[in-house]
Amino acid sequence: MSLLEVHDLVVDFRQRGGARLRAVDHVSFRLNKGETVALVGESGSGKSTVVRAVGQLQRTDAGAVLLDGVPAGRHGRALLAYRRRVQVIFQDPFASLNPMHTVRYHLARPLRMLGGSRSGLDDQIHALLGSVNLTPAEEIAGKYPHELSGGQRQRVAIARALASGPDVLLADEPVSMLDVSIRLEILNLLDRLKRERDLALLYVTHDLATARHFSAEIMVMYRGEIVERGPSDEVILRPAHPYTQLLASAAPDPSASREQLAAARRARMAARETASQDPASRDLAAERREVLLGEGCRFRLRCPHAMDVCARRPPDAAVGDQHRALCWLHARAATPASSAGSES
Amino acid sequence: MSAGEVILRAEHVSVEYAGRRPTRAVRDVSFELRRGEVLGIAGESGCGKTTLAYALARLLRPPARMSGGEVTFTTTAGQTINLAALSGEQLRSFRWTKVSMVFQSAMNALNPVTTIGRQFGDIFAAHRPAMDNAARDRRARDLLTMVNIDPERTVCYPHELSGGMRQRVVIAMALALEPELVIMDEPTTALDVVVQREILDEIERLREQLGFSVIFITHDLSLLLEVSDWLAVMYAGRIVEYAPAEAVGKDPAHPYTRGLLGSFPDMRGERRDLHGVPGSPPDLREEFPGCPFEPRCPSAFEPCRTKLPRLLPLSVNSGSGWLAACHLHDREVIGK
Repeated sequence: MSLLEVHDLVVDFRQRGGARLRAVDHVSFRLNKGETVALVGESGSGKSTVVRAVGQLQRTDAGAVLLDGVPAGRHGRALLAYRRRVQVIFQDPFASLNPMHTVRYHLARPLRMLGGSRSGLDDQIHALLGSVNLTPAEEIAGKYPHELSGGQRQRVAIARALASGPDVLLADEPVSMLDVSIRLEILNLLDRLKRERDLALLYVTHDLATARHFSAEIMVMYRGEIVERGPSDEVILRPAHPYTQLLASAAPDPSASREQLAAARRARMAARETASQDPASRDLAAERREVLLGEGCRFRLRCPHAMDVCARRPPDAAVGDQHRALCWLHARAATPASSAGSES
Repeated sequence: MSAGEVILRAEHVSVEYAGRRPTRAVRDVSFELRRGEVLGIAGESGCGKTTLAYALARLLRPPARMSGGEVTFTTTAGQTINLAALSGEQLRSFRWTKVSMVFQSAMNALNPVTTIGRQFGDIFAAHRPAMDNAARDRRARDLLTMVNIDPERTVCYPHELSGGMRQRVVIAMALALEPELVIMDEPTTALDVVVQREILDEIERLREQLGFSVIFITHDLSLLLEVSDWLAVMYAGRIVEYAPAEAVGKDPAHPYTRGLLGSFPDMRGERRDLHGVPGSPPDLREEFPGCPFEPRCPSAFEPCRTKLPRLLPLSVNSGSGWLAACHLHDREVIGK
């Protein structure tokens, strides 16, 4: 049994006119102690909604979230007990701290809620600040968010998440608002805390390079569905789903030579040219956001390998050890697994 | 159009933000941009990248002012313009026709309450008063087609377009008057990798087609190594390294450039320990007797605390134009 299990999570958003947008469509995964799982995908793919749903910050329409095999509490004491063990780190450290309060206040609140004694409070706050490398702790504790840099603010947000002594951290794009030079320090910090405290970490990002570097497993999300999952090196170095292949080829590659870059660019332009000739795929360029509510593969309008069969629901096919893709291209290798994530 | 000729020359440019203790955001920056080239400017937030860009386009507004130096622009016709000397009507006709800009968070640079077509119309009304309505409309539709957007979209409001499409519209607007230089300040930062890649390809294609030069500003060094010909790395308002982009990725001369290059993992390469650049950039209201990077530098030695390093050609690559401001490369300091 894994520490945190998510089974067939569904979140619908009601739209104007009564239509529903399925932001998260039967997503399942597991988080284990001392392990990082990365969730990658483009904006609007539903990554943050997964975090909010698992963190019990968002109403869900179906599915189950189990912590140690027990369904997550939704109200009152049970919810409080769940939150104590599952904490969220948000993307924007400029928005997630209250500008009217000091760092001390931000950390004292979760500590007090746990019924900690007033006398030891300052020591606990200083210990928390020390654990995220914010020193001198006494000085930092008295500061307001505007007196801190973006990196320092995110450290405060991490310290706040650690205050309740959680087992699971859900980090929603924890570094995308920060400078490149600071990002690594924050990711290294999360990695160290994960090891020291044996935390289960969900790392949500759109950066494939750091996803590969900091996590054991990667899940790729497209329009509400997990379309590929597997060991990080497998997913990045041998992507099986055409969407993952597109993501991997779009990321900057500083090691490529000028000739390689120019050749890759010409190939992409040619592919786009062919696609724009096809009137059915004209909308592709428009990057339309609405979810196709048909049964078929949601990526098929953008997919260079699209076939007739793609109008039917793609199978969850095994493409390697622990490596699966939701794609007809790999159908021959498919095993009759009913729901993704049940293989581990 | 002859390649190799200098289009923009900045000499000892300094910019200050007035205040009780003035913030010296750009300090003694000099460089040359050649026609058709892409110059990338990299550095952390608050190092002066955007302020420098605004100075180059004469867009600084109080409390910022150019406190020293000179920027000259040479047109295709061979006319050399001193930007500081422009005023009133001259300045207005120079901006956008010679140098245009794609602003940071371009997604929000469009007016939300009027259509895309009208916003193109504003550009032509201001700069091409002789154009009639039909011609303006035709030109706006041509520009949208050029950046791969359906020309029927001129009747759309910005909120009806996706982020990537808005970005393309903003680029089309920057190209509306066929400028010779386009300054792009973080043009793809808020976008997804896939959309970012499309926009970069688009910029490259338009550059081949129209032949404009580009100053590309971003903190994403991995991107800059790919798109630019020359790379200027800024720290604390100064250029600390100026190098050919293709070579600098493998062998940076300045410890700060090395730190930035170590800040992102290689997606496909071996896993390695990554460190970033510990510490934070200095307060630009301060004066620095020595090297401003010294407190964060792993290679700092005695002279770094007291003596400001000069931006000098590297001895190993002399003649290539590769410069670095670091005592480790200054023969007089290390006594070789």
